[in-house]
Amino acid sequence: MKPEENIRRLVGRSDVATGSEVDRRILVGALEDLEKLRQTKLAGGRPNVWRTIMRSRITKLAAAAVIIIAVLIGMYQFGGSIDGASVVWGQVAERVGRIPVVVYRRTVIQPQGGLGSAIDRQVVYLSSEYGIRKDEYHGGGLSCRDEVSIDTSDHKIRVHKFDFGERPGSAARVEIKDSTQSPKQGIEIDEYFKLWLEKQSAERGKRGKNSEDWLKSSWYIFPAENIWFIVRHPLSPKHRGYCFCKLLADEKIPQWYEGMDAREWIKQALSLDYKELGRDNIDGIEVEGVEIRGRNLGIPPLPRRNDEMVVRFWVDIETDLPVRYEAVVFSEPLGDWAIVADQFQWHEEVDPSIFEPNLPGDYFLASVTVPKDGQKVTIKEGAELLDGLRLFAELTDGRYPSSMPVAIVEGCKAFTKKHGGQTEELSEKRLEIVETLASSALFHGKLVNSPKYVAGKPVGKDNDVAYYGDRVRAEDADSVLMRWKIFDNEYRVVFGDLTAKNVSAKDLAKLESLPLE
Amino acid sequence: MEDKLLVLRCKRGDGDALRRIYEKYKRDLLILAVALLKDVSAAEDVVHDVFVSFVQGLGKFRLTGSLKGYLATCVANRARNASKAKRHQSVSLEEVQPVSSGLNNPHQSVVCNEELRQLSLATAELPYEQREVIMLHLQCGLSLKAIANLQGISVNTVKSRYRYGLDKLRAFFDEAEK
Repeated sequence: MKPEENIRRLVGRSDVATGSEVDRRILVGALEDLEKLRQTKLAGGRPNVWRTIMRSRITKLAAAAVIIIAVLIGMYQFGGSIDGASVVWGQVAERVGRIPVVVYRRTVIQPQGGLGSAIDRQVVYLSSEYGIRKDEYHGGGLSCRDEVSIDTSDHKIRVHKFDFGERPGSAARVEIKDSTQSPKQGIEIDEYFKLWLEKQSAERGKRGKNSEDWLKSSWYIFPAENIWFIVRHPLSPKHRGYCFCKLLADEKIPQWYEGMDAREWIKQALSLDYKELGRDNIDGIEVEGVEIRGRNLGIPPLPRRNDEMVVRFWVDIETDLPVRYEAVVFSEPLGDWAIVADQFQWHEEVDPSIFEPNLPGDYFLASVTVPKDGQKVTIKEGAELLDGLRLFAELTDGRYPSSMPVAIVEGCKAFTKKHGGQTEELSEKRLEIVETLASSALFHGKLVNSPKYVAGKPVGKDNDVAYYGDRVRAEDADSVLMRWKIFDNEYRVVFGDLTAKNVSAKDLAKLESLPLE
Repeated sequence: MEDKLLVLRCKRGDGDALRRIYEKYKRDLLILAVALLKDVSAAEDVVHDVFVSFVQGLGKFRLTGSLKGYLATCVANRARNASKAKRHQSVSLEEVQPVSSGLNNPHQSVVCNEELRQLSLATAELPYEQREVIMLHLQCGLSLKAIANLQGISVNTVKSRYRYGLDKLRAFFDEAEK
């Protein structure tokens, strides 16, 4: 054995253990200094009451009310409509543009073929200083739709969609396509899937009856660092994760991002010919509205289309601040669709932690998209792959699936062999195994089946995926179990002991040439 | 990218973010420090000092590369200073205790497993500079070029130190096998 390999093995197996007392001792000075830093920031920065009050929904509303009153007072000082007589339209865009923070609810209603309409609810936080956060909620009202894709590639089991109906816990309609499994196996998977759906319903129930409590995902954009950041909260805990995307230095921020800035909508809408709609009352607020109608208006948040479009918005006559914004597109091929923005809050300042991603400890990093050599490349981290492989090895005393597409089938067999017959408790456990292995197989399947794209163009036939589960076991700590290409000359490698790292193509060749122990 | 956000949160005084950074990298940093210093108490002190210094410098800190690489570099720098200070003291390898030793309680002190003890014994045979190159490269994944920048020497010198270090280790392992 060469000394380098010897040392590598020794290094890889070296370990330390620390208890809570040691951890406390090592970190104590740093944490004390950090607390001082926090106190200094609070003392010299924003009032810390924000941090407290913005945690709860009720206090958020109360805080919003206080802010609106404060802004209202400010508006008088800025010379708004003191007598509340009418909106000064010429000043609205300028006034809105001066306010650094806006929070609003955004509802997108769009046709879904023959399935009725889908409602997509979002709450958008926009700050000139900190960026944008968009929380997406499961739509309520008409229908709650979701998508799931359990794809075991070679066996062609693909479940595309299901529909939960109007309320949580109501009957689910399931569509299973492309199943070429033998009938017995197909039925087996189907039953697991039904059980899984029941679990999902129960999870929905736990999240509360109000559909707006079901947060689907949160998007964060850091304009200063050119980063997007998405935290996903699907119902199944197995799939909760987050991903990053760093834009290229000269890459333009996508249109949907620009479309989030409600201040910009108002500015652009008022630059066109508008018709005054007169006075109205929205949720107890006296408002005046305007309407813009035509084709190819190019007003955000809708893309520039040739379809006929109507935009209406209403402004509080006392503050000259928008209260509600509606944009409706009448599209022949797509069907009519609309965006409504309401529940506006116009703030002078905001708690910066709102724009800070909250990463629960059990969420995994799903993918990172970063610029490299002038191009943008996505690296799939593979946490879900490792979860499935780890579980399989536990079930089989250190073996891995002989191939990833058969991971579920082999895993279920191993489970039955290890634990025996069917009980309710075992079915539940078995369901978890199917879920975990399916995620793992799906990750592998996506790598195998998707061509690698750089800057939107395919640059190779595939991700150069290789899997050696038929001969590598958990005890083969330094042997390559799986690898895939992440850059032209760089690979992600998962070893027999399920550690993972990135290596050059040259190092990979060396690693793959190592004989098994 | 996760590290960037953790640093961002630390800059805002978030203790949980600092704990997460520590949990994420403590194993690598402690192994590096133990292997460089052959002394668990000194290794603990070095990692402690690195985190204190990290927090004190947060105001001006901007993460441009890997956070693990940055922290490993800090550990190496501090370990080098600590090693110089101890140069005239004799080094007892018994200070590096195996996990199996009844003396050890991870609640009281950092506990090293048998492999780390062997690693420390093996690398103790090397001059400090060679030990540092080997550990930073193999344990912390720093490229030889990055190590050259860290030590302010040429890449060729780093390569030589790496190669000489490996040669000495070969002799050590050959001897151990006999």
